[in-house]
Amino acid sequence: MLTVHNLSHAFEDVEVLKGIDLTIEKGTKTAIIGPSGSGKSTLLKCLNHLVIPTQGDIVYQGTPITQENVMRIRPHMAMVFQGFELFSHMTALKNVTYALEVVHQKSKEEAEKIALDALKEVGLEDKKDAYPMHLSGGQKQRVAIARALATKPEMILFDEPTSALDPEMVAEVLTVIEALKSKDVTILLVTHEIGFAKAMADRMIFMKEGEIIVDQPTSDFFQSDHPDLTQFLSKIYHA
Amino acid sequence: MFQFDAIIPWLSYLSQGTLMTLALAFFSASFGLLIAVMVNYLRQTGKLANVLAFYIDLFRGTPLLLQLSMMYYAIPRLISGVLNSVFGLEMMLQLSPFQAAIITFSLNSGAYVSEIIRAGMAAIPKGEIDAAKSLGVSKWHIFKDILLPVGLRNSFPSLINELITLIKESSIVSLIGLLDLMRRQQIVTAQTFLYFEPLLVVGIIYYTLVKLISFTGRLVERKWLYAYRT
Repeated sequence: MLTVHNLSHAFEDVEVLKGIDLTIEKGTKTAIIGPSGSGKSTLLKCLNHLVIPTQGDIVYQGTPITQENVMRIRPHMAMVFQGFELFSHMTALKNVTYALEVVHQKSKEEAEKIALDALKEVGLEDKKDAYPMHLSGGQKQRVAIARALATKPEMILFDEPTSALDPEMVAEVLTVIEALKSKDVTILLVTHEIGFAKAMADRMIFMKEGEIIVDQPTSDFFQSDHPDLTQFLSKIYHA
Repeated sequence: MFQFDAIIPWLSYLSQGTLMTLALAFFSASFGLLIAVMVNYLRQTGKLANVLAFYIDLFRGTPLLLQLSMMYYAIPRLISGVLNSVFGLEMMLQLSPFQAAIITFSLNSGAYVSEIIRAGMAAIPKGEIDAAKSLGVSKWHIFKDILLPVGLRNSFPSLINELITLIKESSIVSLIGLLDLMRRQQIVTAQTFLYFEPLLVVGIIYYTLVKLISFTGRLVERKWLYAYRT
């Protein structure tokens, strides 16, 4: 479904991604873990060209992603951000209907119906008229997930969806994401929640300093004796 | 000491200048805002960057009085001369003082307001724009539905400031003979030989106008603009 070949990115002189090769199959759930600064978020943002790679190819459903055609691919590849990034001047409902109306050409009524269903799915139907300012962090992230789900994407990129949340709000967001496990949608999840990644993903990737170090099915991943991974995991478990 | 009774017959004449002052400020602020919105859209698309930078530098870098004099006295003659010498057209272009004032103030205000709106847009978190992009929203819709409405709201207090500045700065139109508040004060002074009284009346009118605008601005901010923030 998605193939990445020799993908590199540098911010000025700093190489953030160094020749990444990756293939994501349709319907799979893949989690990426790794220390801060390992290039996980940059990798996700390169996939939908929010960050334009300095080198390499990304092929989505047989079509190479370029600056010119990325607008046609983005509607099928939703993204959920660490900082929620809801449109602050729009209500929860409008946040969800917006792309449906201007990108997916739905009528207002149709968009609202889809959006209400999506908000219901994340348990926030009663907050449809609230502005992001009036929602808790967990609620904001659930609206952001509803915004992504409403467009019926083939793939969802989760960029550390719980990292900016207070601890007591993490569970409500993870529950919503976990509900997607049984669905067809392809998921690429960058996270620090190792336990959740283990439960959610069928494949796990460990990145360090812009490179993929370990890439295995979840069942084998935790058996890996790669020193960088064992060191990283021991730090997390002892935190 | 004071002869306020001598200017009572002139009060209605003076207050008629208020309409001219308000019309100048209203039209110039509206056209200026329109220019500023277009400048910011073009800036987003990356087109005409040098032309836009030159326009803003030009109108911020020269005195308003010079711009008004250019627009009223010099430019129409220059264009007439060019039309005459290049195309052989015998015509003498002339702008009315009102037209010259509106064009000059709109262009001048547009340059300042462009920068005010740019700052308002720059305050929008980049993540919100990224979120819109990630959903496949086009540049035009991002500008129209996110950058512009939020940018204008962020800039609102400075935009009110600009309107207030226009109300007061527009008084230089008295130099090209437009009968605004200040010009009428000069006429009343010439007729009555009184300075303090008509100046005081005109000052009170300006002050009241500005007070009304700032009060309305605050009201709009509180009741409507920032409902999603508080």
